[in-house]
Amino acid sequence: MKPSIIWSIVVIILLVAVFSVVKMAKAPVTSGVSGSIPEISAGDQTRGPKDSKVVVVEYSDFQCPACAAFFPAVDDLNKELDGKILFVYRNFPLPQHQNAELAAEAAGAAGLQGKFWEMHDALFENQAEWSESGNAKDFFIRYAGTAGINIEQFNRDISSREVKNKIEDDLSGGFKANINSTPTFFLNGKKMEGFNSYDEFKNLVREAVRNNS
Amino acid sequence: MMNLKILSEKRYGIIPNILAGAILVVGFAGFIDASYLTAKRMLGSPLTCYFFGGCDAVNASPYSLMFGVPLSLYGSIFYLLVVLSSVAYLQHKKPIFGIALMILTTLGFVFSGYFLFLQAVMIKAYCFYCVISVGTSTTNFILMSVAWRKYFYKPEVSASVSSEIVG
Repeated sequence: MKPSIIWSIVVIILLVAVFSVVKMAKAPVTSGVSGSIPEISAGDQTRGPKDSKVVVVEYSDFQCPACAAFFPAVDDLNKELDGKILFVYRNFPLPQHQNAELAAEAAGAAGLQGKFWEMHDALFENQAEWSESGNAKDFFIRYAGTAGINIEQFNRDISSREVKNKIEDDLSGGFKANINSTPTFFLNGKKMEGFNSYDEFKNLVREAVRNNS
Repeated sequence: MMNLKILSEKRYGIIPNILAGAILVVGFAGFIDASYLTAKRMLGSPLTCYFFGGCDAVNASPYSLMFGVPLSLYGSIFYLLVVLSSVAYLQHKKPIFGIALMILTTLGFVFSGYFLFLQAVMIKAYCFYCVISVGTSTTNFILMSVAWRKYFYKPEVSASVSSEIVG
């Protein structure tokens, strides 16, 4: 075979490979069948009016880097659509994250004093400093102090059955909905899929608000 | 002058097509893997953490950049050079392409070790496609080392030829 023909074949194969790979990378991640999530209950951590027509539920893990990467987009959305959406945070601590459960307990304990979202924000904003720490609780106590939380009460609540039960309920609800990764979002009960960027994610929620106003 | 030319050419044997072909195939697999990571990175898809597995954390880490360019892009270029060198070797059997393959696969192996260290010690998370890349570059280094020792580099040939010249 002529060298020019061989090189032409090589170039064509490489171009086809690059084209296919870019197409694959662009394809949205879908996780197949998804079940339904439990209804919003009084025990849920929520933000926004309870009677909102648009409800976003996030199943998340405070130690998950992807959830922390999503945090600014979620925060922007909550600020931009303040009063128009109900945002619900549910725990889905992953087994590979050693401090995820403790962080969820810290947020739950803060929630008992009405400071869930302050702790939620502090946990994501400072994830890098506590996620691999052997003394993560010390960091959580510091965030609690900054948020004006009663530390004595916080220390009691962090290991309370009430806080642990809520995390277990969230987790089992997530399993029933076939969640296998974090963050996983549900928009009006339907799993959000098919977005390729944080902007596309935000646009899906904005569109739901437009359609329901 | 002529004798010297014979000396330099005789120093290198021929790598069997099956070995050079295997390096080509593994290099192509590495190219696809690294290009997929590069495309994922450049298209900016949101990250995810999986229940039984790791996170896409590695791709979000500052360690995944060198001089502002994603490491995976260097990987794609590296594997592209491996593919082109192995095709050139299969076609021309010129020693220069064999030497290029040895240098490339050694560099790939050394950098793979460094990337594995970054994931294990610095980022404390593994990325599936990065581990695949460590596998392909290590396989190619082993294949090329075998090819080099067994078939390609023949110092004893050059020694015998040179003694003929002296004699």
